[in-house]
Amino acid sequence: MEMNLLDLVGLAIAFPLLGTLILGLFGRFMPRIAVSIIAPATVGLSFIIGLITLFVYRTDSALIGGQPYVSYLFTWIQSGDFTANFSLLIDPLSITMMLIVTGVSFIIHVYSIGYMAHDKDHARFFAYLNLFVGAMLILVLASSLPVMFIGWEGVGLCSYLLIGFWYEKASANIAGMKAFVVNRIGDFGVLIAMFMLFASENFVSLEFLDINGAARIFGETNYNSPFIIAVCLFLFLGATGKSAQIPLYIWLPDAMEGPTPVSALIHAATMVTAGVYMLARLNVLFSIAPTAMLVVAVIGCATAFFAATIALSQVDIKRVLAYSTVSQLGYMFLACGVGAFWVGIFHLMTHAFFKALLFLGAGSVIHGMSDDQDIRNMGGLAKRMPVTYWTFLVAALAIAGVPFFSGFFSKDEILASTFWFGAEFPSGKILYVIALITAFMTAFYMFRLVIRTFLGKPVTEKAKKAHESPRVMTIPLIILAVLAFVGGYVALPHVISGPLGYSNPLEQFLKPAAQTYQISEHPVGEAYGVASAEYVETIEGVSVEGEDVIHEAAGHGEDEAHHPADISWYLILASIVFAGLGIWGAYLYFRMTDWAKLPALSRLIRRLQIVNDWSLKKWFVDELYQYTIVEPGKVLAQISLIFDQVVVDGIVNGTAGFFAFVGDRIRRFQTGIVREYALGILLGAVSVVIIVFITRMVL
Amino acid sequence: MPDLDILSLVVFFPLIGVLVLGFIDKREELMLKVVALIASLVTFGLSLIVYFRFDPNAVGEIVPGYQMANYVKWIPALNINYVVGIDGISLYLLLLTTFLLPVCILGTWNHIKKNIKLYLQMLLLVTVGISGVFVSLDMILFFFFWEAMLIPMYFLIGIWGSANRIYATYKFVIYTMAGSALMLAAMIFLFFYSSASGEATFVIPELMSRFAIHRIDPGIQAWLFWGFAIAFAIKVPLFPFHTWLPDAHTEAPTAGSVILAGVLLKMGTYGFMRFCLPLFPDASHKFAHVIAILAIIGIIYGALVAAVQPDLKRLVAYSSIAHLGFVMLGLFAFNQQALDGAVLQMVNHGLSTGALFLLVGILYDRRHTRLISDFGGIARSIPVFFVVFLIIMLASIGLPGLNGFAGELLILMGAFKANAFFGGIATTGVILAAIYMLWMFRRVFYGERDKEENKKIVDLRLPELAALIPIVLLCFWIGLYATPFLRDIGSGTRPVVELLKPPTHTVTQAVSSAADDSSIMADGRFYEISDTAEVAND
Repeated sequence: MEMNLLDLVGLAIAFPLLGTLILGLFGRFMPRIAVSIIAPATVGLSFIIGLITLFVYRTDSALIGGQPYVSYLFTWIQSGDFTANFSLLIDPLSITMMLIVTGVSFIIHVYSIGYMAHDKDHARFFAYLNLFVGAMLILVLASSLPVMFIGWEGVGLCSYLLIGFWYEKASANIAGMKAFVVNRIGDFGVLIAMFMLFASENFVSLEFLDINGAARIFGETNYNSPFIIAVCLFLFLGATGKSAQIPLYIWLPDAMEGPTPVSALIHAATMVTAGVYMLARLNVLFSIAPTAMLVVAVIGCATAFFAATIALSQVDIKRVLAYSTVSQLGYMFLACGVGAFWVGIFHLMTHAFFKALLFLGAGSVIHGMSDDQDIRNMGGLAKRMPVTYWTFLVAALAIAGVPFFSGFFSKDEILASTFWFGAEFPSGKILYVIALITAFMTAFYMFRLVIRTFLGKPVTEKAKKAHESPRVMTIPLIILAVLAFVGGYVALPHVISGPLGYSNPLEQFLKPAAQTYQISEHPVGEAYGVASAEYVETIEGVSVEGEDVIHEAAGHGEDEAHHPADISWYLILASIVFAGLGIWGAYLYFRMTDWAKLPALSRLIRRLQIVNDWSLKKWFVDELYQYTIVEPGKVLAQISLIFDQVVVDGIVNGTAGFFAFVGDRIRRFQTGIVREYALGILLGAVSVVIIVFITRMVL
Repeated sequence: MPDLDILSLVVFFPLIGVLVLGFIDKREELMLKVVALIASLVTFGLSLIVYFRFDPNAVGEIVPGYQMANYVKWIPALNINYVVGIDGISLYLLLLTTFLLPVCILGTWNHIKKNIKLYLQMLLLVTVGISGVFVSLDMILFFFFWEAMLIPMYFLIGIWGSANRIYATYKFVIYTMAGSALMLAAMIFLFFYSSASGEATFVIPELMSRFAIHRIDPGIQAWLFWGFAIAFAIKVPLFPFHTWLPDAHTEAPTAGSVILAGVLLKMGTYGFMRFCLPLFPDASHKFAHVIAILAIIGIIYGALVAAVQPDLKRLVAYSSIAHLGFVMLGLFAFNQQALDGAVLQMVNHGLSTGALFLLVGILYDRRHTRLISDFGGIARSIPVFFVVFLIIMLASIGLPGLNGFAGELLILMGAFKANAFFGGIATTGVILAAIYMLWMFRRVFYGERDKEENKKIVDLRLPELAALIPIVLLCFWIGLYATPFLRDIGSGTRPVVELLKPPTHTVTQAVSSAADDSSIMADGRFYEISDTAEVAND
């Protein structure tokens, strides 16, 4: 077999798994320093392999234009006409994901050396963390759904183990279990989607390239058919589980029970974005099911909004960030849902930087505050923890969508995509408006957090005694802050980059792997009753014989290039204004205003306190699930148990009892007295004679 | 004097161990254990020879379709013969049986205090019975082993069991025998029925090939099907015939539970595979819905009841019912993936549930309790045990990368293809499994160590580790690289799938399979079956 340097990519998965093996088996006997070197080193090696892969891929002439490369390792499962090869798919999308995952993971591994320095189980911690990186890399590199599913459930397992890392704490291990079970509900969806594709004669295999290829052909005749919508929605159910969307988002806020680096890595930067990745990976499949896409967009938008309303009132620094993550993931799904898959991945990337930074900053604060997480006890930390403060501020500006910071570019791109989607599909405008309001809320809750944590005067003794974290923690913060600032420049809006004669590198890179595909006879708008624009013939993917029946839409970017520049500027302005309003509002509310001078307004706000309380209580969704699903389930299980003991086993024992009873009665004939037996024989003989006699007579 | 074949050697070698043990004084406990261990390891080693000699592409000489076969006249007057042989279906079940024997001996090295000599002899004897079942190709021989196995098991539970052992052992034996009676009747009927197409015979492959040509009348098939099916359903156990299982498991000594869950239950599913599906394909199709529904009830109901069990062993026992529900569902989906998955899952369940019973037994040995509420926070006390338990639990709930997933995926995939509704409902079992297992795990291992006894538990000892590590490695091996296992299993299931195909489909399928590597057998059968299809059409 011909060797290609790209086949090295398997090693990127192997290194962290090897780390898990070493740390898991011998970690307890190794000196602390050895553990602290091995764990980040394996991830660092994976990152280097990621960089090599990127370089080789870009310079390989055979792979021009985003051609995928499949690296076959071995055949995992083979039965009849079902084959699952353990192979890795290398294309722009997987390379991007791989670099994000390994890069952020490496930084967080380094940070964890400091954060977990005093934990007695740090070897176990790093073993789990390495396992996570390995599983996540399987997830993003797998070339087929079943192999992706190994990573998909693998990261779920690591999430479970790490949330419950401090397993003596009841709340932690309850949260871990909740995460695993809720994720499994989502995984059920992925399994069903896999089975549907397998059972369908139109899909030859579960390889991603084959699924997308078959979807192009299948879409010609079955555009938006119920079958394809169902497949997409089952997949999306999986995505809502892993990526914490309505209705399965409930596990993520509780996941904050885990150590903070875990929250940063797994529950913000990487694992929770897996659902977005899956949608982008199966972009063609989703593109031929516009109804499913609409559901994705609506759920994403609704989650973004809903989670933001909860983030407004939370008092635990990590919980604010958790709901913020749910909300930002909603944005990513909104982007995918409106067909801008690459924008979803773009926001995934910038979010990975700034949200990891926010969590690590929060970890630094918690560290400095001696494990207190309540923002009501903080205040004035800016002076005591300057590095943490300034880096945190960069991240806050980025997530709020302030110009020149990374989040601004990605979020603006999402808002713009949603707007243009709304142009094709009028009631889609609602999505844009909600997304814009959410942007306002995002800026508001983020700056509420910044102000209450870092500004003003220290509220408690702990806050007064707070101290900056060691350098092993602050340097990662600084690196992430740089990334959170510059991360957006890989994809400037066309209205800016166009006149500068500078193309959009990320979009160019991702375009072949993650864009909306359109089928010639069915423009995207059609499902919503709107005609659409122009198409370009496809050049890559499955070879189709005969007519050029398959068309691929002009890249989203080129589409956008046709959008009027003035409207594009207005859209940018709108996002700036809403972000600015949010920050200004938070500043006014928490810092500037002397409420004593405004008694009427204060009274009004006090009256509205109940809304704040309900928001703080997360709109009682957990309670709703508890009483409609969990408790009835427990009752059902108890009923089953009683049924089993009384009815099923009752019949068994009853049958046995019946025979015992009959046997006991019959036993009485066996008296042991010979004369009675002789009588029996006589009676028997006489009856035989009589019977024979009678039958002879009758016949 | 006929040649001694390797299969018979594997089956009967433990008897030598029983004999040698007989000459050792019962006070020499270490000696007894070492001898038993050696006997079990040699048996396992012999079965490895079978494994290495097995060739998935072989046709089989003495008995077509079966390898390493032997055919000896036994009772010529009744045409009862000693026929043994192995195919892809029985290969791994035989290996599993011989593998679990040393695991049982090692895993409970210090657990048994009472009459250890007899205990070890019974363990060896029960293995003879079970491996005999898996290699028998003559119905009467099969029946002989099937019943013979009950006797040592009866003593294992009855002597070394816990408090309520007498009730449990009676329930187990009588329930099983009630089923066997029907099976024996059905076997004898088949024997006489086969005389219509040649000499009356008890040999299973012979019956299979005869009835493939001269299909049994569907009405008669139905009766025979249930005659066998009830015996097997009790053994599996299929809902609602399952209530002997939790009692037997709970009362049995650890090794008894391991063997029960590991291989004894598989005799039931294996029976379905060996008799019901290939001999009565029409009846199997006819009653597939009934069995599938019972299997699905088992999956969900077993999980629900498991969730609220206060006793660890009962919890694992009910989880077995759910797992075997998956296997049964796979068997009655009739396609390649489902059957391969079902056989693989029989092995997987034997490994993971066998290991779970062993682990629970070890906990019981340390703490003399199996109540979940008596534990809590013990991850801190016994870290090695914790890791092993975690891996086995994850294998049991079907985490991808471990063995349970490979089997479940294939079963559910096949079941979904056969009937999307059934497949979909059964898939919810995946969620339920996570709930009951993790909940138990949390209550046992996590939380505060609020009981003093839980602070001083001894971690895994060397023999226990020696028993568990091979299981863990196998879980990873099958989970990450199932292909070689499936290649062997597929060679055994493919003929069954062919037999189960409805006649009209067979034509196209056989043409395509004749084109590739399929043997002359499949080719021949294609013409034969298409003949009957025409007859049926007429």
